[in-house]
Amino acid sequence: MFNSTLIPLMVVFPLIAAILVNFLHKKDRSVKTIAIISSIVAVVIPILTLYGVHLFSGHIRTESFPEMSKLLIPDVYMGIVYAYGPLQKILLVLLTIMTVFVIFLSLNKKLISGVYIAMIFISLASVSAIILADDFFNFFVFIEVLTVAQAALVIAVRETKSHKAAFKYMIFGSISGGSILLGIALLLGVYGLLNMTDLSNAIKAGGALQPIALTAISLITIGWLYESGLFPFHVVKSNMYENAMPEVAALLQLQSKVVLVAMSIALLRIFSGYSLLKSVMLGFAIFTVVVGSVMALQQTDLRKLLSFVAVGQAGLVAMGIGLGTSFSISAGIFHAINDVLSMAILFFVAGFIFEAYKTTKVDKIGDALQKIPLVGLVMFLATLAISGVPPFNSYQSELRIIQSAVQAGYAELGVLVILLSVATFVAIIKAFYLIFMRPGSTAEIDPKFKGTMYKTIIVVLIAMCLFIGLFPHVIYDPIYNVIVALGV
Amino acid sequence: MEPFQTGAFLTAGVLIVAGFWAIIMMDNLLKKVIGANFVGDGVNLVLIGIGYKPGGLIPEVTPHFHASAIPSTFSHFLAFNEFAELASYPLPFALVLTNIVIGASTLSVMLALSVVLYHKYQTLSVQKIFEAMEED
Repeated sequence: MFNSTLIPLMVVFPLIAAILVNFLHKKDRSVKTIAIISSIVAVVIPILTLYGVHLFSGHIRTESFPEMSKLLIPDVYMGIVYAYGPLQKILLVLLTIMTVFVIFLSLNKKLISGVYIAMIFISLASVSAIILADDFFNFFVFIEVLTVAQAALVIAVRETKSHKAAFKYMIFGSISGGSILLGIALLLGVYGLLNMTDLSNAIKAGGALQPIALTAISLITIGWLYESGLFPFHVVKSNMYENAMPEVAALLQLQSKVVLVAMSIALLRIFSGYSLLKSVMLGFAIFTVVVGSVMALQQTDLRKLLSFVAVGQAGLVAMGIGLGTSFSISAGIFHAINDVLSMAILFFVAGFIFEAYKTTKVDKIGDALQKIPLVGLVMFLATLAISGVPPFNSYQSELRIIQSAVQAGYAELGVLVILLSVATFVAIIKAFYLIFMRPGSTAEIDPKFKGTMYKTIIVVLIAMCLFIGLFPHVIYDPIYNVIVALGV
Repeated sequence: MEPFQTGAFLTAGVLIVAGFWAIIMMDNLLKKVIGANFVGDGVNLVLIGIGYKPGGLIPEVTPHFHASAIPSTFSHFLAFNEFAELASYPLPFALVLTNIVIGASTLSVMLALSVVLYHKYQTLSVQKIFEAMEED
């Protein structure tokens, strides 16, 4: 029963859920019921689905008619293709679990707006499609849909700052979307193909890249930088994180990192023979790491601080991928998974603090450890986790990134990774001290706020971080096998 | 390259450059939105130029091909090879249609945000909005 025909359901089901909750807007009880059931079903679908390829409309791979189409490859896909393997499964399960947490927190906070929940489901469907799509145009369509959904989630805060952040995001999104589509158009003009597997084969068969294809790579790389929140678009992305509700920020940073991974793999697969691409990726990643960590150290607002830490960590993921070896790419993807878990805990802690104190300014809150000891303990552990301290998960991935950098002949990048870890630790532990240990607080805690849902979720997440840290091969090995098989 | 394609690509280039210029240099929110729309339109024009074939059949409206047909037995059908040689490439047009839909939704969100910001600050100038936000 559960076979690869369930693959498109991972995109279609959240879309149907989005339509339903949008239709039932203001009918709070119905929205709540549908949202809870749908989000749980969304987690179950990727777990039950078997690995495979889904051909939309049943279009099978067919002859390319080289005498007419001038294609150098013998056969091509004639329709949209979704591919589902171990890497996709890991990313989708992680994505859906985090979406469940965010939906539960939103419902718990009486944010039961049909439109708001619909936007969460649309963003889930978009990222699922980006992970699954083997078709460049489908990829582009869902990147654009994701941009609109993410902007809508930030707009929902209903503050002018959030409107400004969303507007900036949309404007830059139109530049990035235009770049990606122009790149796709140029590739279509040169190779007549949109399927990533076919494009990769055609480019390999065609030998050296034509100048127009190089222009296409540059344009798509601009889109990659924007969608991943890397330098020089890091400010736009961090603005989005800091102006969203903290739990939504946790979801946004997860989505950005998943898109970063999916898009990087797509680029590396298609242009695997073009080594300059990896150097460009590495260059921008280094800039992002440096800028992200320096900016994080300067912040006095917890949400802003975490936003820049998230950006810096995205740079670290891109660095692993940009190093370009199977080992480093796997380590980069592994770090993306570890990092989104740790960052999510920190954003949820920020959400708890915001709900309890109505502010996240670190200089206004103090002595919180006596009032909310569990949250303080989990924040401390999450700080250790994100800084790469054993036995937590990020230690395993950062160690692998450092090892791969040394193996690739860039030992200095290993030093940069250690410096980033130290900077991250200093930035967050400073905020931790000010919020939880510094005597005296100008902000009063809301005595009615219990935050049981927040506490449960952060405890579950820190347990996941510890589990991955102790048993890294459960996650890392499937990723490494996929990357070796892809030959990127 | 056909003259139509040359014209399309040149116009697209002008649209894209003008769009980027408006986004980066213009102070007015609406002009930025229009610039963003120009970029999308320019890219659409590139796609249309790519799909253009002089005198080509339009696959969506011309009679279908038949895998085993020969023109003498099915006069209104074309053999696949003949059809494929004569037809325009339909994929770019499908992409343009999709991009128009996406562009419309993005445009509507950007315009809605412009309206909200205008109601709040009574100006469309980005600089004045930023100054007012700093004062807040």
